[in-house]
Amino acid sequence: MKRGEGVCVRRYLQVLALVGVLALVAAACGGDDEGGATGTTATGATGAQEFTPGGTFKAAMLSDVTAGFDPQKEYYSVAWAFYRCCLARTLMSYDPNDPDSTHLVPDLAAAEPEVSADGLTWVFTIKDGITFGPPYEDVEITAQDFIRAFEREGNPEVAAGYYFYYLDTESQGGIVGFSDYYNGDADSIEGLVAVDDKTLEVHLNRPAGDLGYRMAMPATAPIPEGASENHVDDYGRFLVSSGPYMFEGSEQITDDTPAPGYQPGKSITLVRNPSWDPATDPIRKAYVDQIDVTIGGTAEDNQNKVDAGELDVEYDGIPPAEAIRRYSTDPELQDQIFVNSSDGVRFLWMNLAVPPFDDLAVRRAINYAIDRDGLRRLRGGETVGDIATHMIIPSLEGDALGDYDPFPSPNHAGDLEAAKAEMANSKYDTDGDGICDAPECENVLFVTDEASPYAEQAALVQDNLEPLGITLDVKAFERSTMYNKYFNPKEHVPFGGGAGWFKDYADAYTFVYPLFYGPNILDAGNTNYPMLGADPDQLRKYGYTQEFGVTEVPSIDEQAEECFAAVDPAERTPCFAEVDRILSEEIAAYVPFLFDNDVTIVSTRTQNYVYSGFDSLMALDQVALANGGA
Amino acid sequence: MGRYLIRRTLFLILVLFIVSIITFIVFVKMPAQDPAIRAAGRSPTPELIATIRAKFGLDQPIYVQFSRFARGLVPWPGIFLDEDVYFSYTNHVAVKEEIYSRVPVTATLALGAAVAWLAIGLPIGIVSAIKPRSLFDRAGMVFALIGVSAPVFWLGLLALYVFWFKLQWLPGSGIPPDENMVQAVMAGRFILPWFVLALSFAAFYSRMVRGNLIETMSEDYIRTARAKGISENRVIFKHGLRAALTPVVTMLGLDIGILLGGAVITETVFNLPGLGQYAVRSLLNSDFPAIMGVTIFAALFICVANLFVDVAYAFLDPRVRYT
Amino acid sequence: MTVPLLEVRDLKVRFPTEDGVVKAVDGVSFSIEPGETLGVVGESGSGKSVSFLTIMGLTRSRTAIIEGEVLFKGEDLLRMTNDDIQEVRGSQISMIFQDPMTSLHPFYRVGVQISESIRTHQKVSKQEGMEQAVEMLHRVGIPRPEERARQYPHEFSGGMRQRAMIAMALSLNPDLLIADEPTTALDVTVQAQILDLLARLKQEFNASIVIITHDLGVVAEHCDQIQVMYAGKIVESGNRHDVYYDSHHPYTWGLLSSIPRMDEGAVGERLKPIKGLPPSLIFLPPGCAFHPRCPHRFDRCEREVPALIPSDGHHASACHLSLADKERIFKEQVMARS
Repeated sequence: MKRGEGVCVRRYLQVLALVGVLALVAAACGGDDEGGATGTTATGATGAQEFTPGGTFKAAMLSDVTAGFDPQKEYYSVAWAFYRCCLARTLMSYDPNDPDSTHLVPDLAAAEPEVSADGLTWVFTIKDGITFGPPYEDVEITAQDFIRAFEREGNPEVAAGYYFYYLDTESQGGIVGFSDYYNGDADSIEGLVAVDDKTLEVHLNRPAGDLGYRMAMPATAPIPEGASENHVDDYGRFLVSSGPYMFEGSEQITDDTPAPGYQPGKSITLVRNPSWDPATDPIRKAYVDQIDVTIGGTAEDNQNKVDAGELDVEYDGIPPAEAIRRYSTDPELQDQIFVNSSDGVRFLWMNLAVPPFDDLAVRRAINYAIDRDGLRRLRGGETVGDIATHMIIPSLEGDALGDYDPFPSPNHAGDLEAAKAEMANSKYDTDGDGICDAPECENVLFVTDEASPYAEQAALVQDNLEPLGITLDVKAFERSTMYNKYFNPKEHVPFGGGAGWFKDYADAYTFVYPLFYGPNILDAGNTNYPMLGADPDQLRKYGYTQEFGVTEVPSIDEQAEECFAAVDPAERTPCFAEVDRILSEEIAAYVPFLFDNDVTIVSTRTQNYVYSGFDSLMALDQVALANGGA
Repeated sequence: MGRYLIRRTLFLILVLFIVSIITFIVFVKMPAQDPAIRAAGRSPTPELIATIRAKFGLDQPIYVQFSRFARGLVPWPGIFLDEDVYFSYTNHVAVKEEIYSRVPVTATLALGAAVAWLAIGLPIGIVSAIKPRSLFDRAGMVFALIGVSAPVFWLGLLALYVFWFKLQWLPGSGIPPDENMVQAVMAGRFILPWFVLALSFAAFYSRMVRGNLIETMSEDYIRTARAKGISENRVIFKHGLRAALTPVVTMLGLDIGILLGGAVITETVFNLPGLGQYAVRSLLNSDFPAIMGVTIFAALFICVANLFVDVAYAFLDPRVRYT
Repeated sequence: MTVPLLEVRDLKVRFPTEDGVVKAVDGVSFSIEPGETLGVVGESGSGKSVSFLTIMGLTRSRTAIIEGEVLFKGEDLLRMTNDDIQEVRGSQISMIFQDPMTSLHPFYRVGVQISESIRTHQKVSKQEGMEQAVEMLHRVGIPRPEERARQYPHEFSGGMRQRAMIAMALSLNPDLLIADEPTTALDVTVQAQILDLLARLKQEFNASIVIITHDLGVVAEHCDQIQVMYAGKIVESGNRHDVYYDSHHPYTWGLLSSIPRMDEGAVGERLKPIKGLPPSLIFLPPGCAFHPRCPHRFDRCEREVPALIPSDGHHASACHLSLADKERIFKEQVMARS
């Protein structure tokens, strides 16, 4: 966060402190802009708000959330944004104003948790006097309410999105008894104990340094008794808020009547939660009185509305490239466009079990040939992110691989000669001229997203690979259909172009485990698309051996497991960076090309734009409107 | 007539049944993905998927699954699209509830557009028929060509751009959640969608009316009417149109029936929360109960519209009798 | 001398088409007295219907070229305004057509259609119009007229429909009723009924009637005057005796000879049609239009168009043969058959 002049407070008596303060202020004052603002547009003295509360903030989303706003089911960043800002306070949370987006602060917890010496017991004390929103405005939040949330998370009928984060297993430190509860072998979760109304004890089977993060996920937000019992499938519409806002009409919620403020597929209307007490919530400012979200429409139409001032922000998409260009270059508009790293990577991927990608030389050649800068340009140019030269985002590696570029080329535009040199080493290039002449290189199926800019990017990839003798058969699908194909190992998708991956929380584990780890290859919903680390049984199980004769593929399981076991971040981070390096050079199953930025354009009346690193979206609990929206 | 109606109603149920079977087969045989996996979220385990499959009854044999859906076909309150089976995999809302909340939007769109295309198409068709090969007639033909060729999508975006964004004469896309249909219409939100949707129909109807009327006007009874000394205007309107418009009524009923199933493109461009938008969204999400529900509902509308039109025809043309 | 009700002078109707100009009516002159029944006989394309449609102002073609004069009660119908001629149509001159099924509007009740005719020309309420319609249906001999008036045309039989058309045509007591092939679409038995009806009504309403037909038999009993038309011209006109027992034109002879006979001597005989086909109305033969088919032609016929020349006060024919020859040939060839 930046501060303006005149902020500094001086005291005659403490000269040294003065110097210290001056030094601190000098460091903080006079920050710089880079093309677009990265933080707030104006602040006041000593952090006192200069923003007028009031008004209705108007947002639009192209699609609805993915699981009906059910906090246990939703695994979608936009839903998470609404929970964090407005609807579901958790024991621990993040302050969007904090430049360190990995910094956890207590939210419903009164203070940092007490962790036992062996790291197996965490004790959370819950703040006093906080009640739920209507219709449970008389019910105070207690430890039991958190346990209820975990029980719902562990109920297989609910089909919770990321319940596996809490399982106590061999390879993961989780809540004792959670697996038993999930499997129906126990009636309650042994490792969760409500010592009293205000004290929650969490017992782990193994030390897990990142438990705090897992207690900041929306599924752990408290649920009052009776609110969710009869809503295994559709609790989202009956959601009881614990945050500064609630669905409009929540006071009307009964077992049969959902909150009218959420119209699935159509609109979300949030109004102030009368139970919320700002004194208990230093994180959230909640300037605006109401948040209106309309669902549907097109990106261009929504952008037109933002331009016209009828809409304040398009929340879940990226603005059209034309608008990005316009807003970045026009000095009048530059303070309305915000660019932040969204902690994600976009990449092409190759299936290690499908020829010709079973040959490292081919994969390395492709990594040389792809014009990464061109791919980025098609998406909107420099504003949309930095060129990615490896898979794990820099912030999760402590930026250890700062200038690392295993496949250098001028301007990241690709190096055909170097590519050919690699291809010449391949068994599919029989005459060693750098051009593949095997039939496996002809009409390779390339599965990608049909939306812009993926389709255009596919054309560029085709152009890049043709001189290498690789011709592509491009098939574009609607996004969810494309992902369904990626998720299914039996589909044998050879080459994919529409994929991206974003952190779940601030640990490289959330990249390595789902993307690169062999034992995590799933029959369904598989995210290890290249089949990295698959063992011969798996290869046969999914038909690769039978169809292509592939019996083994490279693996980084061993290195990964070392990193999983490391508890100390000082060990973990460089360990993961090394995994990334090996992956990039020695396996090269991916062609990463972009460390994604979130680009948001807001209306002129929008103030105090703060970026929430947790969900990679604008923080609606911080936003204000000029003149209180008058 | 009574027996006829009963027969047609039974036939309607049969049609719904066939439609549902075909839809079911299409989606069972060619699924985008096992819906249990969709519903299971980002990282499902095999156990989780199995649980969901059991919950949705997906582990049952196909005919058992279908029978669950079949029960919801009977257009009787309480049974039609029952909530247990027709429950959206993705929205977690009863399909029936979604459909009913969206019908007013689609109905307003369809009926308003019908009024518009009749108001535009009929006069053009009539005048073109009265003065064939005149300048007006040729202009009418150009209009028809444009109307039929202009893609609704393009027309809609163009209309929004010109009339909302540039001129600011009309409101933009979407309907705010707190407005009911009457308020939305009064606010002018339907004007562009009506016009855009009506244009191609108007073009088509103008040519159809023109053709019918020209043909009718060459009938013998028109000559008789003139021989009686009736003014030409009255001959055209009371004698000519009366016969020429009868097939138009048939077409109108059918067109409205089809539109009530959802004017997909118009609703998408103007972000109107109607049945068409719901159908598209459900398809993209492979939300099978929703797809079944919308398809059956649309089929119901079309069948009822068909029936209505056939009965109306008996009133319009006294030569037609049903037993 | 009485003033003719209708006097047609040198009426010509031509239609320009892509292939040439069709001379549908090529100089037709005649007159009709009040109370007279005129029969107009000829094949399709002879111009018989077009003449009368033009007289009524019902020739629709925009490009039609109409010349001549049509004096109805002294006024030239061809030069009237649209409004004026609409006044005349239906109330002073009425027309009925060949096929009553298609000539009545299928969607309106019969009584309503008759009532409409009345209400077009008289200020009368719907109720009264209907009452008058019922009365007319009664007068044309339709039983249970109140019921029938409320029915639709498709519920009537062929003969009844034609009666209803007649009722409609006579409802305003016109001076002239033109019947274009009124019996062609009907059974023979019904034919006779309709013709008798027309005759009776003519007396009751004191109207003149024109019966247009291709069938000589139809005009035999009821017509005072008969005109025979061929290729847009009148080739012979006269009263009944003139045409049937003393005709002076080869075409008429041909028509008479081709009538099938049922008496003893004729049974087993072949029919005797007129050889050849009617001419194209665009490219009429030079001279007499009938000469290519005429067994009695001679060289003058090719060169000169014969005029319609009266042989006495009521009998005229358009043929170059001498009167003596005409009488001779008629006796030998035509009468010999009888």
